[in-house]
Amino acid sequence: MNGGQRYGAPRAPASTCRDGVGRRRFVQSGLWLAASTGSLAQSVLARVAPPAYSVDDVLAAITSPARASDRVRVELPERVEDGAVVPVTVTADLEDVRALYVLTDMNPMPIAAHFRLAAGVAPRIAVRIKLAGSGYVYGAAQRSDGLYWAAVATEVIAGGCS
Amino acid sequence: MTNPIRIRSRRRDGGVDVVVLMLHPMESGLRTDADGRLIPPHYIVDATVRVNERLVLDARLGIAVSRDPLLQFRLEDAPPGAVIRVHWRDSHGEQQEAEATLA
Repeated sequence: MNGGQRYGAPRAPASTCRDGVGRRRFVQSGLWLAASTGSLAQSVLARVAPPAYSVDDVLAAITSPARASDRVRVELPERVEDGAVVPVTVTADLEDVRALYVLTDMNPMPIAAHFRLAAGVAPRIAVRIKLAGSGYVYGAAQRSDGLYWAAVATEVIAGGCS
Repeated sequence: MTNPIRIRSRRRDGGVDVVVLMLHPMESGLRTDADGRLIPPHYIVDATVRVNERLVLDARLGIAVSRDPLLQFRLEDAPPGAVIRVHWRDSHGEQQEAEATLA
């Protein structure tokens, strides 16, 4: 799988959690909402039916319009030995970015983290996330005129399914 | 006892690059121990960064963030010597805070 930047058409999730039933058990356990990243994610998830989610639906639910954009850059390794610790950097070459999001299409929860930025904070954030398997990692920048996103594929050898 | 929040900053090209390390297990509740029992969830829910008491970053983390979250960001208009304060709250209701002086 190449690590090229991707903009455009939606794509089905690449793989399930390495722990087989992890995703289904997680959803059924109700941890799904309890473990969400705050009330915003909960309101987003209320509009997206578990367990199968479409990242494009999630992006549109964060704010619309959600556009693929080459002004957003997502940096992460093309190949990951250990999915438990994957460094990701999201940078937006845009003015007045209010929030940055990191999303994935292979984890139980689509939104890995999000950050609200005050004025004077550069539209760039680096964080380390867990990836359950190979797939796409998305970065999104929110402004008053909508959401701008990009996605990069990564191959994960040992899923960080936790 | 190691400070569970470490803050490092470096002034570069008119701004300040900040690195924050927050020691925390970030247990998702999905992992099982050697006996097959689920390890209970325990993870940072949110973290805030203030510079001279002004909120600059409000982070929502969760189970997809790796153990010992490491955040890196850049402040464009923070003066040298400004006080940076990092605070987090986790799923157990525990809180932690640390302060440093910006480069």
